[in-house]
Amino acid sequence: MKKRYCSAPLLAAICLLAACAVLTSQASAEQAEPAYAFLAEASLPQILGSGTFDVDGTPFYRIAVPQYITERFSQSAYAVKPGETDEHVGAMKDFLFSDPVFEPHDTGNEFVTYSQCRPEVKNYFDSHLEVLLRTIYDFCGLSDKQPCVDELSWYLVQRLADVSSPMRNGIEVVYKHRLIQQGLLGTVSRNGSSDNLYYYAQTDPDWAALSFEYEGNGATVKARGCGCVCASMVISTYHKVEITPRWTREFALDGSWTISAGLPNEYFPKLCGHYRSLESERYGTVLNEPKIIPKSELNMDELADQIANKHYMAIANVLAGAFTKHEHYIVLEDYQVIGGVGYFLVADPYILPSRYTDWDQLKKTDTGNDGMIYATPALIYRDCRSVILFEQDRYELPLVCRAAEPEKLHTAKEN
Amino acid sequence: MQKTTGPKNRHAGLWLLLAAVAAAAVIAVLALLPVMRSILGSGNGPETSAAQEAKPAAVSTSAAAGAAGTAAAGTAAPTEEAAVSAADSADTAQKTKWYQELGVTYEASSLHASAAEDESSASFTPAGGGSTPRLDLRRVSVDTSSLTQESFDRIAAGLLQAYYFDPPATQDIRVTGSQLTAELYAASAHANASSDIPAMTAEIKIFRLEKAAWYAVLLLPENAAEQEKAAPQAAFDSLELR
Repeated sequence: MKKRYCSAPLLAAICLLAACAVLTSQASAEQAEPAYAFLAEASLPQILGSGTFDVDGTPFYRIAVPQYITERFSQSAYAVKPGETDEHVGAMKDFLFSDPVFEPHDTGNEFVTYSQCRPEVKNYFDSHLEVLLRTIYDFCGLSDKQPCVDELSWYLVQRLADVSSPMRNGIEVVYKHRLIQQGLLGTVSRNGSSDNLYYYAQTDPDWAALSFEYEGNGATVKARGCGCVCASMVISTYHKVEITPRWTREFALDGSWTISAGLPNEYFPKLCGHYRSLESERYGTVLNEPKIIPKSELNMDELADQIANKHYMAIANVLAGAFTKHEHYIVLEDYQVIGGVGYFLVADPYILPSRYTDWDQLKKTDTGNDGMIYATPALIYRDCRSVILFEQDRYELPLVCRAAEPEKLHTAKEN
Repeated sequence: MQKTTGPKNRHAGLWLLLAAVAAAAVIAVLALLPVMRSILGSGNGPETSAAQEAKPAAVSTSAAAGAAGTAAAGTAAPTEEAAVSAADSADTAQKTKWYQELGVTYEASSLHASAAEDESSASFTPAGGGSTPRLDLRRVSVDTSSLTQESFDRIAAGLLQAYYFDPPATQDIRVTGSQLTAELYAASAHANASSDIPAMTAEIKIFRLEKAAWYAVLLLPENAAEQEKAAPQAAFDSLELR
């Protein structure tokens, strides 16, 4: 009892100190706010320090962020970390995906992709958004900040619309470059994890039921669309943007192809010609026409070397066998030796592993994606009719700064 | 257990009551402080924050004093007198330029002047090249009538920070000699040297207009030679309002 009475003055003193601390900080914040309004209008030249930073040996111009901005947002009402799910994340993705300034395939930027914004994962702070925010921080000279969806990040993302198009392009190129470096370039799966490659399934409900018919046969993408879905995976990889099967389907339907039993091999070179320079302006990427190699000319050792070491990609046209009872296209994404046995990493656009046979030459992956399967070169060779070989390094992305000078965050347009 | 209702409990209650009254008093004082500062700040005399260091040389008030070339009442620094003297003796080298309401007299052979077309901003850099020491003048459409001295001090720090790509933290900038009148705010802001940037001083004046202001920043690297600083300093000291 005595102890309780003795602590009463102490408690009173603590309450008093706490009240003082709260009021002092509030008073200080209130004093700062009018100053911020003035500083938002102030404009002075950045002449002290470096206006560039280095990305793997390439200098990029920076965006100068006034100190009062970082100070103003040093306390945030929310702070969402990578791996967490929160509606602030969804709002940020929505903004970056839907704002006309960032609209991809035009003059905009692909900062957030279609697969990141699907309902299942929209509010999930995925690894791609984490890399994007880190890249934005680096451009803004905030390298010490850990990726976080908070008020400062929101502010920076919103102000991106005001910096020049070449500066935004620089952010986008460095972002994609880092995705490649970290092995993350590709789609985001419906569970929020990175596929680490561009993967689309013809069984995906987003487009499975879309018509893919020829002369009224009632076919759908799910039934006959393996060719255009494989093409989406490859073209997306070379251009570093998500080109969904909707795009490649349209080209297939407009091309007067005989698609009664799926697309012919000749569809792929034509499509690549059509999309050759799709992203040349943004990324400097060029998509060359692939080579169609008939089975009689196929050298599987050479193919394995090209895919594993030169980072080429290939689409295999397989007949009835381990993968299908009819005819099918699959993508050869990689070649790896596992336990002394060489396997191609196959991206099968039709997700139904139960239909596979020849399990002695197949091996499940640990990707968590049922559309991915390892297959031996012998099995691929046995089943294939031809291979469409893309003789280009899939990771190639010129690292170029197109901005002409450092820029400032436009602060006068604050809300 | 028996319920306690003895005198010791009454003592505890008294302590808590006392704490509540004291907390209320502190709240009242802190709440009134900005109002009192605002009243004093917009009053007649300049006020210097007790927490601030005393400025070695008094801030020029020549702009508020009126006509160009007139030494400010008793507070003019020696550099100002030198500038005035130079203007008198070699007037061909001196040029007076008006940017809307703000006039500046500068040595055209030492300083390169550049200005916005609408004359809402101007910069003076060394005629021989380089970007410092320099004087920057900017007009802003901001009402400063309700700003307190603390707010102006934060602005002074922010103006110095604005020159940096990686600005020093606000708490690392010392604002000294700040003076506030109804017409003018003046202060110096100092930042220590960092990596390849020398210590910097920014002399700042903010001329308060109706719903607008001109701010002038004289940016001086502390390792710059005195003769390099003289011309921009003289131009800064000559600033006046129409």
